[in-house]
Amino acid sequence: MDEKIEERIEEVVRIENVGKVFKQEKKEFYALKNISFNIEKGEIFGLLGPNGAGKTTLINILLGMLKPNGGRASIFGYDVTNQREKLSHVVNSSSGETEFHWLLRGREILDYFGRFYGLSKEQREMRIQNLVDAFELQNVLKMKFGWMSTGQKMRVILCKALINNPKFIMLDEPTLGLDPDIAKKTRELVAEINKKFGTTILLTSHYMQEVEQLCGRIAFIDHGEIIDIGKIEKLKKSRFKDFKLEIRLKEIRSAELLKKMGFEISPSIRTIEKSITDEEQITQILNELVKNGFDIINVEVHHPTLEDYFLKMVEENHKNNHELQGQQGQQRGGKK
Amino acid sequence: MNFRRILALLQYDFAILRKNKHRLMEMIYFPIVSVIAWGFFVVYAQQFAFQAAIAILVVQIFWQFAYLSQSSVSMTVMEDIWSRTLRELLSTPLTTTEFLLARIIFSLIRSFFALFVLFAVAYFVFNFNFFATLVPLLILATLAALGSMGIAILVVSVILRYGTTLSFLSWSIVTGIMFLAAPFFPLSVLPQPLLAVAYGIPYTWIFEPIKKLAVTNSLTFADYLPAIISNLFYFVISFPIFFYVFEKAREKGRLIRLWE
Repeated sequence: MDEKIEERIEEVVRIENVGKVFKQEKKEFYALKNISFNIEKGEIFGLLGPNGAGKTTLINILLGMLKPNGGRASIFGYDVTNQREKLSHVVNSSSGETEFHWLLRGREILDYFGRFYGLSKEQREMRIQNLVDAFELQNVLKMKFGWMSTGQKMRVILCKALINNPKFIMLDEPTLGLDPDIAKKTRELVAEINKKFGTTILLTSHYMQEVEQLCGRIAFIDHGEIIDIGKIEKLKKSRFKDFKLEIRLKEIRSAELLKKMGFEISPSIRTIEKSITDEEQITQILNELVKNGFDIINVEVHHPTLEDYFLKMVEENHKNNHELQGQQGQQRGGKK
Repeated sequence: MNFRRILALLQYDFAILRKNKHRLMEMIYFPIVSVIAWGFFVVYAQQFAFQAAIAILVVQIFWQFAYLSQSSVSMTVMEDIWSRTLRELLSTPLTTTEFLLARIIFSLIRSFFALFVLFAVAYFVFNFNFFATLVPLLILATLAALGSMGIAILVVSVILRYGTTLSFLSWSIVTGIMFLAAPFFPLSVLPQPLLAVAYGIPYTWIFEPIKKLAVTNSLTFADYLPAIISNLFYFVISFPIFFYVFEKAREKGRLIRLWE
């Protein structure tokens, strides 16, 4: 790999009109439909979407394991299909689907993969030691892969993904099956690698908090199409105009008045809720409550989370797909 | 081509072999047991038909050798598929050629090691001395190894194309076709339709000179020629077929769904 090209290029990943069609029992299934987006240097980019949306297909294309039917995907300016040999030294990946030979021990796996990536003995030893410390793998190194727990396997898989100090790394569900403390450390390590070495990262995860914590930009993909792409906050704002104000009162004295003020009431927990569009409204609402003699115990502002966004996107997209299928059905019926 | 990566994959395969009791048994124990069992028969049969008995023993050794040469390539790739490591290996800088070449070297080391062990067993246990015919036997063994590896690469190609439901071919193909290669009887015994099949099997052209060698103790170039053509043919055609099927598998997504 030409170091200068790698330094010069600001767009690490460029995906232009990439499509992938699979044939299943003589039927065509569109796994990816002409998707386009870029990942910039030093970015942690999240790829979100429900199961079967096309995320893993895209990762396999970027790894050179799958040829797209159309379009072009490149990493550091090199075509992933035809110029894989120029890229593979500086790219790596981990996935929930990754496994290693059940008879090989943790250290052997890391050492052999280090050799496949062309690392010298000293480099491998140093790298393995650093990764072992970071992922607390001391006891796992001597274990055979087949005997490891899910969490231990995932840590070895992550270490393999980092063994060559990749400039671009694809992490498909990196914390799947990990204990909360190791998952937290993994997230911290991902953030640290990104910050310290400027490593560009493509991340997929079903843990929305993880994506929200790590990623700057995300793309929401469903049925092989990019539905939404951009900075997380911007995307959430585009889908949710308002947010929720939740107030806990000492007692609910005048339900009528509260309803008139636009609150939803949960008497059992002495809580009232209201959707608002502007944070400046909060002081005004609280003043009004105090003026009317309500004793406020607690105030919480609930901004929409990425999970809310994800659920809304899935719901909207499924609804649109049903409508589309309905229209297509009607058109076919009409033709008959 | 990077020889350090080839060496790394070769050592990776040997690391797995060392831990895999079944594959160690397959490499040493079963061939030795088979040669010992046939050796006793040959000792007995020598009284009636000396040369035929010797031919039977050598054919038996070559049968084991051919099986190992073939299975060492295809079973190693099958283990990559079963252990879901294939995608991981191929997404490293290892090229497809390096991947295949390492497996060929692995197969050669494994099968020739077993061959020398079997010759040693025949020599020390039954006092069969192959030294006089060692050169022609080694030439035929090299050709049989090439043919076997060609068949192995073709088997891997078939599995890449049609899926792992055909994985049984990786351990059964040699045994499945060997009896048609006229191992323990003259080729002329076979009926016409089977004869046509036998002509297409590379081992037929290994066993024919072996049977002759037992009688004459020497071979001419003409005796080697069919073995050279047939075994080299399988070895040479297996590569373009593999690369074609591999590319198609990459295109159709079979490469990443092999274990499904």
